Amino acid sequence: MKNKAQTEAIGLAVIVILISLAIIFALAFSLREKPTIKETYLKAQLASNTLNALLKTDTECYSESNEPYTISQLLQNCIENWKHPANQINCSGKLSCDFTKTQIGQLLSETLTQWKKHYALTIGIGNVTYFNFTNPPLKGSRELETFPLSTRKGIVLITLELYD
Amino acid sequence: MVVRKSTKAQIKVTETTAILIIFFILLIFGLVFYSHFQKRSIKAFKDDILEKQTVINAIKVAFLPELACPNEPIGSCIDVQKMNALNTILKNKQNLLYYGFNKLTIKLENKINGKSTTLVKYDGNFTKKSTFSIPVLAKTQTGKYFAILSITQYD
Repeated sequence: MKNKAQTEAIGLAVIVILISLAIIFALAFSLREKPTIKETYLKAQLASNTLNALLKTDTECYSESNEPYTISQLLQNCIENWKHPANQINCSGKLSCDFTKTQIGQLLSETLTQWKKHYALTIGIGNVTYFNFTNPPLKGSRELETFPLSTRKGIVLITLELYD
Repeated sequence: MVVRKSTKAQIKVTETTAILIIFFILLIFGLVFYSHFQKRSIKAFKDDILEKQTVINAIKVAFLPELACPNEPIGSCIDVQKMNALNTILKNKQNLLYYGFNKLTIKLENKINGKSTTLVKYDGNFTKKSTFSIPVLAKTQTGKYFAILSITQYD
């Protein structure tokens, strides 16, 4: 008689535990934050708009004819003359590679970093990476945008990866 | 015997009352929780509407042919001169309503030289706002610059 009661009590306890687990799982799934429409649209547009604006922007580095260089022109010059700094464009005392690195870093920190976005911007040809800008952690779902830039050294791929 | 019956009845009445009190307490708890969740979902719904409105207006502004730059993909570049011209047109409230820019502030901030241009500015009262910012190219008379297009929608 006593044994039967114990078995029933254990059975009841198991049922209670199972129901509690089911409730916990249901709550965990229903309370999980879903991405808002703003986040969804932003994610789709951010990578391509950022790269497009970044590469086509004029800088405060001017040619002899007083025309401003764009970041992509400076990048082209920097990569083509990577091993010959003497041939790099001089932007008021800074060589094109240093100038481009500072400019891209500054623009990214004023936008993506400030908006708490996690990203990795890599500029390179094949396995050779010339520049790498990151804001870790780089995990979660990823949005990727790539722009090719032709140089005498080959096609430079500028890739921006945005993470959640 | 009579006393015994009365005691039993009293116990039953007390028991019934206790059950009723517990039932009503549970009912009140249920109602409080339900109204709390309803309030939260109404607030979330309102926020969602505000965000949707912000995104709709952001798309509208970014893709306005009136602001597009020549030789640039639409949606990625804003012509500042055209923006200034449209700003003059939008000073007329009827034109503002025609474009559907209600309770909205639209600003373009040049990140290279720090200058900013405002297309529309809302100065009225509000309880909540939602801002959407996206990098674009800003075409000026002197060149094209990295800029941030910010759209703030007020409720």
